[in-house]
Amino acid sequence: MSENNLEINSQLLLGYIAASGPSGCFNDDVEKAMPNLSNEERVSAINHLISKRLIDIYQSGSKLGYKTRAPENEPADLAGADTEEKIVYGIIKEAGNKGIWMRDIRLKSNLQPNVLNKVLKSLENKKLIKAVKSVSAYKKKVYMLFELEPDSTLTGGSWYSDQDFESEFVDVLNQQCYRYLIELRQKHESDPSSVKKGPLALYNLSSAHPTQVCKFITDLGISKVPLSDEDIRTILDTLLYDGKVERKVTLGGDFTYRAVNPLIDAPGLVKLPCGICSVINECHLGGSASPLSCPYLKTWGEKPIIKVQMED
Amino acid sequence: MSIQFGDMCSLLLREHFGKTAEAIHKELRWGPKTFKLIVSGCKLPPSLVKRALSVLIQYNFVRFEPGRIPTVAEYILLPENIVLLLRFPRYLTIINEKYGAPSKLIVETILKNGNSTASKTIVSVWKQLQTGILENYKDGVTGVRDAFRVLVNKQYLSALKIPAQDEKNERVPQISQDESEIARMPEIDASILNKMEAGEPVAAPDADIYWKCNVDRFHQDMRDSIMVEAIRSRIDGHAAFFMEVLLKKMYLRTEGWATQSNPVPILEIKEETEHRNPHLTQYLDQYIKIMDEDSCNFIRRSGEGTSGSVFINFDKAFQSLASATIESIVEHRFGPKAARIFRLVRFKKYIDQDQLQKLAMIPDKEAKQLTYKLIQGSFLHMHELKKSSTAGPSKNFYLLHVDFNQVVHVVLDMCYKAIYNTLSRTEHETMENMRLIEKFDKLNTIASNMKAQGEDPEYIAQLLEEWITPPERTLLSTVEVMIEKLRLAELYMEETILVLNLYSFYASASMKEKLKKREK
Repeated sequence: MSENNLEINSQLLLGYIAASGPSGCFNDDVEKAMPNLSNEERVSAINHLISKRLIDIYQSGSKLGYKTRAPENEPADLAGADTEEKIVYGIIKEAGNKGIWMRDIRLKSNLQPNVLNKVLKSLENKKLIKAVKSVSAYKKKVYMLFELEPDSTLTGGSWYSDQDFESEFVDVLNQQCYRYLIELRQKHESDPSSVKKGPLALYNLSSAHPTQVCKFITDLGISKVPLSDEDIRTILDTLLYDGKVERKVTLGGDFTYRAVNPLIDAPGLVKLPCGICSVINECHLGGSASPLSCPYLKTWGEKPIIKVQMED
Repeated sequence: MSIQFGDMCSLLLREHFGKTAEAIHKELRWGPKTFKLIVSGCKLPPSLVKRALSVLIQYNFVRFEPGRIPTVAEYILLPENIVLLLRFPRYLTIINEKYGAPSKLIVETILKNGNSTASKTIVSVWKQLQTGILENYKDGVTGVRDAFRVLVNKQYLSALKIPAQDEKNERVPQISQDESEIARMPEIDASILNKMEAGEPVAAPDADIYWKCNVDRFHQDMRDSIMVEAIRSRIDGHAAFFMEVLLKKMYLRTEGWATQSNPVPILEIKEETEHRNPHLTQYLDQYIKIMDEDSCNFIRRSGEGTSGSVFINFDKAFQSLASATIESIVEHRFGPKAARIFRLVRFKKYIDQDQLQKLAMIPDKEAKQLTYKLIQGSFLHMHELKKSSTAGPSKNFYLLHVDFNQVVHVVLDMCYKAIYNTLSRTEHETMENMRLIEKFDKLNTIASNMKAQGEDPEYIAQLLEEWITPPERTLLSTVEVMIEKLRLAELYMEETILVLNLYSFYASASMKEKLKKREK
């Protein structure tokens, strides 16, 4: 079997596999399509193609299949790297911007942990890949290509900076969104021309779409990161769960938000220290917490009644 | 009946009716008992127990019926009536606002006596009026009588059921009543009233008709005002006015305690509002639309345009009112973030901890801590979902949810406990400073006597100043403020209890209706 023959066979084979599309073709198909090739010739041609990294071999059920490999433009640094690095690089690349866990790399590559560690280190040093910490699991490190932007499920979106949830940022946004809605409502309620349009128009005027709120927040300049409408919607939803705003579905399937007053004032129970007392369950006559010796009741009772309370 | 509720009732009885009533309450608390058992249980002289028991029966805190042996009566405690003692001040305010001071005096007299005949009440109120407690009262005794009649006609007072003349069972009288008798007020001549007042022996025409306060009617008023005020704070005064008119119209065609009112035509409401509130009339449709779409679900609209009608959904309304109350309590007890978690869980019905943290936008650690605190306080509940019986613990899901009825119970018990605390604290404060209070009272009596004898008022003031030292005076004022505040807190708390009780009432009533429908 001459070199020349092998080259021709390989070209034929590659042409056939490439023609069968990205999902590739099975070994049986290749056999049928090229009956004039002997088994040895076919195997050597396939091996030749694999070693040139032109096709991939894969297994589906009990059948063997081949598919063409997308032409890679490997970084220059990888050119001098060994096969292990190339394989690991390939696995990490496949994972995209979601990243891949070290354990999964090991399972896919079948490399020993210490070997894999070395490979990953060398790749990291070459600035080909990077390790990113996930917000969902504190200690979990995932690897991805250096130039990729981590997915929002890893970084947690706008609300995280370096894996830390920015609760203050969220709280400030929460307050500002509420301020915007309440000011919007007050503006229209105190404006006689709006009142003249009737209560329903007033109601609609004081409702705001997330886009409006988003513009307000962006104009305020309190956020260093650009916030999307979706981000603002999550914030507005927290206001909904705070009971401060009401959400309404519009005809287009969008939501609008509107600040509302609570249905009732603070209930009577919480006007007394007992209502917010954390040991009320342990409070008994003669117990260590007792209504007769309760210091909270004492300090509360000593303050004079505010006149407003008397009126209602 | 929970322990907290029982404790509170017992303290209420002690405060208003003394130790004997409390002892009887202790005996009857866990179930009906016969007279003999009560006496042997509380170890008090039978005559005293008999007196106290009849007082309790008069106030409708205890009822009796033939027990296992038909000739021996068993006494049954009615704790839901005892707790009404807390509402008496509110009843008086309602009547005072609606019908003025003389009517308030009538209701006060009847509340104080448990029940009373019309003529006796009228005479007693008239006597009070003659001492000049009300300025500018000129209607005379007939005015009081007419006020009484109005109260009867408006169903604030109702006739008491009278024992039937049953020959068979003389020892335990059966209570029976003719329905038509309930709201009929007998004619009482002014001359008879005058004679009674003078103390002459006359036979009153109504000697056997006793009247009591119809608490249901008062509760309807309280319910209506809660709803109107809620609408006022949610939307505005015009909407509240609409609600008021709607409630008034509702009474014409619906039973007072139905879970859903019958539809009221919009046209009828428009007629009513036309002269009194032009702004509302102009935008009536829009207001109805807003209220219909509001999440508080007070009213529902059926039919379009002016031919349509609206009905009130009490069940849903009190569901939202109770939710608002409890959410507010959670917010005050555990902070606004806990309230957010609580609302979120109720909103989503069942939710995973991880999901909750993401939606509530609260840092994981804080969210977990708050969730566990809420679970500890029985405001949240955990629902375990086993994936398979053989799998390890990691395969199980723990879903958070809120069993709202249970939360209502928890909060109600908390209210009872808090009222118990205020009552016992008030008693304690009074006892501690009894000597001081008594001294102060004595001095005041002496001062007023001296004033009556024509002493110089300046001289009296000077004497008072000398008799009471400054530290005593400050102590007295602190105690007074404390007690006043505790009393006020009781009133406020009572309002919370009312909302939650109404919620429970409507929730169970609508549940029963649904079951009935399904059976059909």
